[in-house]
Amino acid sequence: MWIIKHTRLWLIFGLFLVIASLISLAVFGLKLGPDFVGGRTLDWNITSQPNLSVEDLKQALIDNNQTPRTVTKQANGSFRIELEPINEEAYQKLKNDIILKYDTAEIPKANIIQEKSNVLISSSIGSELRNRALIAIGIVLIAIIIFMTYVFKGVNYPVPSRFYGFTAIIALAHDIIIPTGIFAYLSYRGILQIDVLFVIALLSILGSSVNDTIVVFDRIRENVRRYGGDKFEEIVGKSIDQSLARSVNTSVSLLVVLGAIFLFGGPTVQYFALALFLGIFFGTYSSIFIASPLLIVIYRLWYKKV
Amino acid sequence: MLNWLKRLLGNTLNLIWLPIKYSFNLTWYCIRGTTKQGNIIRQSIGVILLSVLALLFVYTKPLNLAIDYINTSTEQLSKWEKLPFKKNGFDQWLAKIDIAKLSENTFNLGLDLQGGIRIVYDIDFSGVEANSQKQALESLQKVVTQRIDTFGVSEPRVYLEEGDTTRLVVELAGIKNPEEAIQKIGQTPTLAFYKARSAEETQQIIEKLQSGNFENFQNPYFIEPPVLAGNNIKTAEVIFDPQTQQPQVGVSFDDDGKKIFADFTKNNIGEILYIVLDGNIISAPRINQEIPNGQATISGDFTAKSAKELVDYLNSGALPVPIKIASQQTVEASLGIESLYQSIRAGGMGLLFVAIFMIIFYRALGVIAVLALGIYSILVLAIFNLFGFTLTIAGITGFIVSVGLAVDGNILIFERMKEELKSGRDFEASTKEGFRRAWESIRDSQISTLISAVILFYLASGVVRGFGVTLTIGIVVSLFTAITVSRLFITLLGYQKWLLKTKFGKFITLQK
Repeated sequence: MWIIKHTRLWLIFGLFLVIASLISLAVFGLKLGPDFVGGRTLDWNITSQPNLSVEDLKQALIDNNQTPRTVTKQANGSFRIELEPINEEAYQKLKNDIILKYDTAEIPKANIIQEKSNVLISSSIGSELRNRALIAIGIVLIAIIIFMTYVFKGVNYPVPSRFYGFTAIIALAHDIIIPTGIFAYLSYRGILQIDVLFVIALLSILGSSVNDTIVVFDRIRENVRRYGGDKFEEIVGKSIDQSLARSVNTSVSLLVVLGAIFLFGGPTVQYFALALFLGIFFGTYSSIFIASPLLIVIYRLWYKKV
Repeated sequence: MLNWLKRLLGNTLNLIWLPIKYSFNLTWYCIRGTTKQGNIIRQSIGVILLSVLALLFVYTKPLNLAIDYINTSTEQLSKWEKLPFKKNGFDQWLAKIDIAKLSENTFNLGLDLQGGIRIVYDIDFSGVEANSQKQALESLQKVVTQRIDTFGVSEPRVYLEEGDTTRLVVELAGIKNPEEAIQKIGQTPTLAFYKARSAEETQQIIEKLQSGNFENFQNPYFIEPPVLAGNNIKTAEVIFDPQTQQPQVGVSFDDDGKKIFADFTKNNIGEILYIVLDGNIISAPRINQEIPNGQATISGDFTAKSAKELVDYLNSGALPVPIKIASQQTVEASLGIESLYQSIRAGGMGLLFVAIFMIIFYRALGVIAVLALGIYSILVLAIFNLFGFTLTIAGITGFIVSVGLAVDGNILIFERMKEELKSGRDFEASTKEGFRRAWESIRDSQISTLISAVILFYLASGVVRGFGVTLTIGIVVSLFTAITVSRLFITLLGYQKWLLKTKFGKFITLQK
């Protein structure tokens, strides 16, 4: 079984990916979006100026003493403008000023800016959401760990059950850290921002990542019962082999769905789908190339010691 | 809330027990692993019935017609003279039957899909004592609801949300002019006391206005600026005239107001005082004497009710507690439709991709998985509609993701079946073994996803909550369909010996 032969290679490669992600996280940091720091995000279609450039609009906003954080032009032709969390009054003033600036005789004033969406999140709500997100991640982690110990409590052979849980959690960390590292880089490049949906994606990854590991370990447990734990490495290899098709097919069907959301689901959920995509991909990868090799390494260390 | 409960109870009690019974039976058969011919027929009936019923909940028109028919015919029947058991109150019982209808527009769409506004207000409790906070919240909700009622929105929602602090949430779906709504909700109604003009002045101004001259508009009755503003009022209450028992309104001013009011009343005895709320004169009492103590009594043609109304107005001169916008989400209807379209397209494409993948990979079994997936989708949509869940972008995304998760159960089973077939068992035995062995893995792996989903549901708020809800429902339903529905179809497939011999159905045996 080729996967089992090169345990060290897989583990070192995994470690490399994790360290690279951690470095990316440390260097670039996560650029938090308005969900967590507060802000006012506008979706404006400026009907009187079909050829208005992003720079011009930015300048117009700066001229009105509202320096935008970002201005981007979207596929449907409207502008996405992110501002500080200014209040309704300041916002109405800004909007009126911009309307006056782009006023043309043909279009009635009320129709110059088509406000497709306008989302305000105050800094206090932002920081509250941030806390809640952290609490949610913490609770899910604890719940999953408890669940893991429960699932594997009967399997004490050939290594104690706590090592099954431990391995699954290492794989879990791997699955969470890598997408986060990638997102740190993407947010540094200004492609996206970390929003509530990203946290949801992380939480879902937490759930589905152990899911894959459980299926492989279930197989190991079953095979150990059937053949005994003497040739543990062989059994792990056999179990991976048996569950490989399932793991790959399941994640392919999920990846296909997520790909559909990424391509067709619209800007709101696009990067959410990407985060989940990465998480599912690495989740399946780690259940085969991290969790099982690690289990074998632990097994070897355990029997060397005893 | 009451309506919702009524609708829920009416539908569940009258219509849902049948599919539940059948699906329980079905699950029971499948877990026990009985595959006798007779059971198969019953199972098929169960699945078909369940799907049809679910479909009726998704496409509600025929069901609503039926409900309508039952309601009217029972009512007519109750009036029938020869009706038996009249003594026992059977006619009254019949007349009482009134099954709640399902909503015709099928799904409750969230603000992000149909357009509208959601505003979350921070409530400033600094001026309120701890033990009267609850009361303040109640009256805040009441006042805000009153203000919203003037907008003519079909289903406005005003509720409190507990976070780090209690917040007030206002949701107005499909509103045309959100800016005006924001203004009116947060606006402090202006209450003020004005000095009356002399009769000649009033006459002059009215004549001027009647001649169509609106330049330098002046109110014909009272003089701007006001003598006193509403924020000088400390409290107002309904009192009764001790002699006539006529209801009156008693007002007490704060220290500044007391002084101004005392000076004003001293100098204007016999004049009219106009009390104006948002530009409308609500009362015009005559000043009978100087009022030095800051206590004024407004007498007029009050009924107990109108006096109470005025008191409420005066007391809510400002909202009972000041509120400030903490977050706000305005979505234009056109963007909502765009998002809805995108979500539906993503869902459709997702389903299609999964279907293609499964059929290419598992052929005949893949078709079964797709059938199970179709029934799964109908069931989930029926549940959304039945319980009136609000669908948001995040919610639909959760549903689409759950489609991907739902085939997981099928894949686990198929892989197990393939193994059993490889080891030389026949189709029927392989099916039985495959299901038995896959069940444990399916259960364990879905539970861990369920943990995340449920916690998401509890901790997330607002729009994001939808994801947890739909994912949870999706997982639970997919457990059911993956086990029972696909089992039924696979067993049926097992009887089609000719199909198993074709290239399409042979796939499993070819793997040997």
